[in-house]
Amino acid sequence: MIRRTLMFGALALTLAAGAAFAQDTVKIGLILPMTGPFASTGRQIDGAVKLWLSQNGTTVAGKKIEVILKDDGGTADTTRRLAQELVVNDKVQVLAGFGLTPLALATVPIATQAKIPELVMAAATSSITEQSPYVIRAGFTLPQITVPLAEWAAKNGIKKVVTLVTDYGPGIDAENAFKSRFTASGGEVTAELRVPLRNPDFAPFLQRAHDAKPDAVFVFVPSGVGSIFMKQFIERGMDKSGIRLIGTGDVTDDDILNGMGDVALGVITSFHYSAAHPSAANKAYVDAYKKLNGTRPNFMSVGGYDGMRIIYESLKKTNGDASGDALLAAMKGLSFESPRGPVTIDPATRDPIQNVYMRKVERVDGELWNVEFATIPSVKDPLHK
Amino acid sequence: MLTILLDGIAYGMLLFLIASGLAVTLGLMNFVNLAHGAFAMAGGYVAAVLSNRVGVPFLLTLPIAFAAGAALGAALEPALYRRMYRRPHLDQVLFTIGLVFMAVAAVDFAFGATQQYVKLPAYLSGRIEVAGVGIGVYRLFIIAVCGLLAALLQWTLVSTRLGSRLRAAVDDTRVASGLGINVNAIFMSTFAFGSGLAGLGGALGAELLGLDPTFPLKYIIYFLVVVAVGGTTTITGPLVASLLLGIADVAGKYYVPKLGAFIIYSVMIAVLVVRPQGLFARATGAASAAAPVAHALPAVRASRLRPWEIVWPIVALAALAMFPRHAALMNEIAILALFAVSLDLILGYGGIVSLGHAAFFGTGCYAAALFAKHFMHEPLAGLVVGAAVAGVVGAATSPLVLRGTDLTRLMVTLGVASILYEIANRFSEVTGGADGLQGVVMGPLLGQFAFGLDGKVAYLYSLTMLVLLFLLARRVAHSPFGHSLQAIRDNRLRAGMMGIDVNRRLAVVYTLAAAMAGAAGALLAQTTGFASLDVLDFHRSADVMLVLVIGGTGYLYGGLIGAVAFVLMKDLLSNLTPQYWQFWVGLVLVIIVLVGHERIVRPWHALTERFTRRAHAPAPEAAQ
Repeated sequence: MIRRTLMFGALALTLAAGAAFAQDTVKIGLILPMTGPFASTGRQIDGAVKLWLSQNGTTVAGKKIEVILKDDGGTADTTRRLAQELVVNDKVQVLAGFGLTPLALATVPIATQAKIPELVMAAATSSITEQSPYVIRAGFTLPQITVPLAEWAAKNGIKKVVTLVTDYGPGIDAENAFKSRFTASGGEVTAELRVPLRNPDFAPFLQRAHDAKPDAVFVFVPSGVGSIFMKQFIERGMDKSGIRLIGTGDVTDDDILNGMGDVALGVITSFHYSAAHPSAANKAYVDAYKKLNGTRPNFMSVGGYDGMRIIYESLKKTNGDASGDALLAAMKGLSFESPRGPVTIDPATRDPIQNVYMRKVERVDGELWNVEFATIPSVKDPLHK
Repeated sequence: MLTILLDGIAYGMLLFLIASGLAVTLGLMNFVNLAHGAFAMAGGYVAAVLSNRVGVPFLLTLPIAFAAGAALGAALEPALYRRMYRRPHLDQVLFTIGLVFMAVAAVDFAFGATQQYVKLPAYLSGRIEVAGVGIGVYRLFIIAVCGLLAALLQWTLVSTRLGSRLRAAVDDTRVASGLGINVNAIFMSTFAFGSGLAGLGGALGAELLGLDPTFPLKYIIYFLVVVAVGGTTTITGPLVASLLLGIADVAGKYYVPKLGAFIIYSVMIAVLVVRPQGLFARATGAASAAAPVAHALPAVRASRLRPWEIVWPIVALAALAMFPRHAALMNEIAILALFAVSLDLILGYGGIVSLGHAAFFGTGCYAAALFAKHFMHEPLAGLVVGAAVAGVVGAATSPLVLRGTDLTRLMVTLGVASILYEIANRFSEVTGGADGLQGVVMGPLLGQFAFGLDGKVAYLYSLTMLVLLFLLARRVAHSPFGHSLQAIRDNRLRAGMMGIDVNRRLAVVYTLAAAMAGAAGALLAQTTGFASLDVLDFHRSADVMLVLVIGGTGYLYGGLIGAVAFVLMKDLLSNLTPQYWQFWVGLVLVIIVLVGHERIVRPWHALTERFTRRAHAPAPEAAQ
């Protein structure tokens, strides 16, 4: 007992000793799922970060940038532990990455306690940025891209919709966002189907959607699963029964779109990024990314790429002052031209305000692309007040 | 709904095709091959590469996928698997999981982490209408192919010479080889054939199940479910089980989509409760009592603390002083160690294997987190609550693990954990669902020591609890109660005959272990201020099993040694190569089993044993 008290006493002393920050190096802790079911997310972001570093060098505003990559395997308590170690041991000034919502949420207390920015590159549940003033997002939120799709559907002759989402946070976000906007625009959601996260066969859910005879099925499933879903949708002959397939861009993920084959043709999705976005900046980005990593970049990669941009730009604004609050203040309100189009970080919500595009899968030069046909400019996350 | 029925049959047939090889190795050769899905994955990738990059027609890729799976099986069987047949089941688990890790990382390295596709020809896609019922052509094709193969398999096993030789070789290896049957060749060809079927299934199933590097881990649960429900002594069993599960799953999800995720596990538990040996099992009482699950160590050990036993807490404290930077990692080790020690109580002492111990870890985690969120911030009270709630769940589910074989228990525990996982996902208003439970604020320990960023308080807290609960577990293990458990583990019939109330004692130790696992979960919730679904996930149950098997079962210290070794190895390797560390972890596991972990964990034992053996029998090698 006495020994323990002594230990705690000694501990309190070490706690009191503050941490000295390195002066010339800014360290970024990049925590991604590099293994496990969500490894492709990690690979895309890691590839984009490498691309950014190779294009922009590792020195900005007189500071040397050092990125420390860690694999959390998609497990929340590991993410948190890694974040803790990065903050305490490596003295990182930014925590970045976060492939899934729970991983980002588990880290929030660490970033808040350490008073450093938590830069979310991939996780897309709306509420993450509300948890702490230190959370800032480079990617997108699901409601942000779902709401424009609901409006588009209502305007384009779709009256009855069955929603089919994966039964977890982002899926439920998408379902709610779609339903509320679609019914407000005069449409009707006739059935809401939720598919378990670990689900090998979509047959029963598709059959149910089929029997409801809607004008369209709205789908949100995580990107890797999307292709299996789509194949089964076509296999069931639902396209021939006149049911349209609309969804968020995860379903026709650029990373794997080409492998899906002709079943993907004509699918209409809304998203904030397409590798086919017709701008010079994007063309250069896609070419450079392919050259470095060998695959086509997808929306995850853009989150990583712009995340790095946000860090660099804010460091320039602070003249190299990397203390958490200064960086965060500089990040808020940043505006830049991304491969996806113009992006502004909303100073109030710390979420990106960006264009959302309506796209259709088409074959161009022998490859499948999400070709944009309409732009909804400057969309804010609709769930934030 | 005929469409739904056919969908279910096609899905079930596919499960059967892949699982049949597992049924053969497990049922006939009594070998737990968790790497079975890796052969299916190999077949799938071969088909995908051939059809997409080389342009081989789809129908031709199927026999090639079979051949690839079979060739892989034929190569690995004599090289690796053969040495494992006589090893305890847990060694086999460790070994094959190691192979899975290696396969996952290797495929990831070669083909990337994204989904792969097998392009279907036009005549197999689409849909035809028969009497107003729409049927997918590809599903019909799957039913036809799998049906044919099932018939062929059954006929081979029952009516051919090869089949009877195989059964003879299985029933009594020695006599069979005495009769001139080449047992090794038979086993090899059986294994290769099973792997080939898996490869074919992987190629056929890529369209429905998807294909990515995590395939073997994702689907091994389903294959095991099929084998456990079907029973392992026939081919009809797994076939009927696959169809039953396929139809129940598809129909259930169609008619009650809200319960979709629960169906397969509920059906499995229901079947196994009624028929613990599976649907089609020969009534065998003796077979299940065969091999001990793990290395049984000399049962009688001094119950007094020996001097070296107080060393480890001191070392653990010294570790904090020496490596203060790694307090968070050490906290993780302490929690995992406690979790593993709790598993050792039921596995090493009670002989109950469990692939669902995370059920209690997760329950304790959520209970403690919710308690802190809604009632009280005091950690110690939360710890008691977490342990108590987990203990109650343990007591409630203990009747399920009393009957059946090792496989039954593995699957029932897995089913319980999976159902709890889905419940936590379903009631997201309470648990936060897949986003995780937020807003858990922990008060300072004993009202004075706040959990800081550096993780030191967390580690000291977890370590203290580990030491206390370890001493409790040790006390239990060395009590008359603990000895009676070992008697039950070693021979249940005999223990019952001596008047030990077998079921009651197992239920008690199961409850106790559940409460300890709950305490470990509570520690995790409290020291991280967060609870998310993955605390109930399969990988957590599998990890703790690995940890315990690495460290060795049945002496409690295995949990401590295993946790330290496993976490340090993972952390070290994943820092070196964040993408492919799984390969190296897998390799280490395989080597541990091949070398024999007795020799690694307690080299002095092996040495002294060898020494004494030498002394007594001058030339043991020559004698053999």
